[in-house]
Amino acid sequence: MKIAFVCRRMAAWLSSVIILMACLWTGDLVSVWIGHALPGSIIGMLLLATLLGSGLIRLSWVEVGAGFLVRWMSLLFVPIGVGVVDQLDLLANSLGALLLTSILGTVIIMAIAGWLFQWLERTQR
Amino acid sequence: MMSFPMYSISPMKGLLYCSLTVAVYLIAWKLQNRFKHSLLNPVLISILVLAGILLAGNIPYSDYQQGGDWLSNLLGLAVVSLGVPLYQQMREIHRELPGVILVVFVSSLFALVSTVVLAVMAGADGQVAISLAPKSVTTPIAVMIVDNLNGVPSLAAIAVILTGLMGAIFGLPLLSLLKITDPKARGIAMGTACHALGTARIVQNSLQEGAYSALALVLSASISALLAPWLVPWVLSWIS
Repeated sequence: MKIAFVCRRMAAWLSSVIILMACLWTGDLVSVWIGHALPGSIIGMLLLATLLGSGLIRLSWVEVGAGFLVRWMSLLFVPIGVGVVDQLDLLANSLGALLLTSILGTVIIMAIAGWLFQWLERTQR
Repeated sequence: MMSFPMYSISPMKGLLYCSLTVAVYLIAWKLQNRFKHSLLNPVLISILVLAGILLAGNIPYSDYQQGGDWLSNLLGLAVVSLGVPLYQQMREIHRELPGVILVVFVSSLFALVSTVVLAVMAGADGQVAISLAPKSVTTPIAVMIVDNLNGVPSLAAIAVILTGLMGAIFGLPLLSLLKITDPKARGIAMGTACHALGTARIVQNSLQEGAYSALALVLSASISALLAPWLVPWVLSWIS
């Protein structure tokens, strides 16, 4: 019983990895083909959603790996952020503009996007 | 000091820095779970701790990068994985797609214009303003936009990460403060303003919000890539 469980689990992981990689590779190919107008990973995301939606791929085939990656996605941004140590001069020179745009800019954009959509939802009802 | 040939030492270094990054992140994540304070954002803490270690130990970033790249390379697969929550909300999203596209279009336009204006107000020159303009867009697209406009791609990467951190740390309380309570509106606001890093945070909160965030992330990346090449130079010439 236990062995069957482990085997099923491993198969679910294997199929997740294969499908996710296939989507990413296809996305990368399409990305090159359309002159990098969108990154391959984003095309791969749309492809995966479409394949799941059309029933060609079952949710249970990708659920394990995709769920794991989505849960730990934040970790994957850490090395890019650490890259800041190579750019300390650049960071110091434009610190004012960086802080103002990232703090105030984020508040403004969130407010516009959120309020506009909520307003649309309400008027449509 | 003895110097080792690169090829024999690099896999060990890669493994070392990769596991160090994971370990620091796990500790930071445990800390946040324990104290529940949003300033204890695990991404921010990990970046500060690891950057501190590199600076204190005089370790060049290129050494760390060997291990860091192992993790960065997984980012592509993680973005593809966002297709799952997107699919799970597809039936509902399908009905609202025109509204979502309209909202993200207006917000992305505003994002590009307001960032350039704010940057110039803060005393930035044209090249810096261009580099900050696509800060709300996911890193690869932002770097591409800035590269095409002759900005500084590495500055763009910093701006993108900083904006994403803003969203990951203050995004959820900010949305509540702005009285944005509808889960769809919350997702769209996060995805449009704070790209994948904000999406990674909000998907932990709710899969529905995460799905709308992922959708907004895709749309804002494509719309900004289309708008920025002519809009950013136009705004710059208009205000200076």
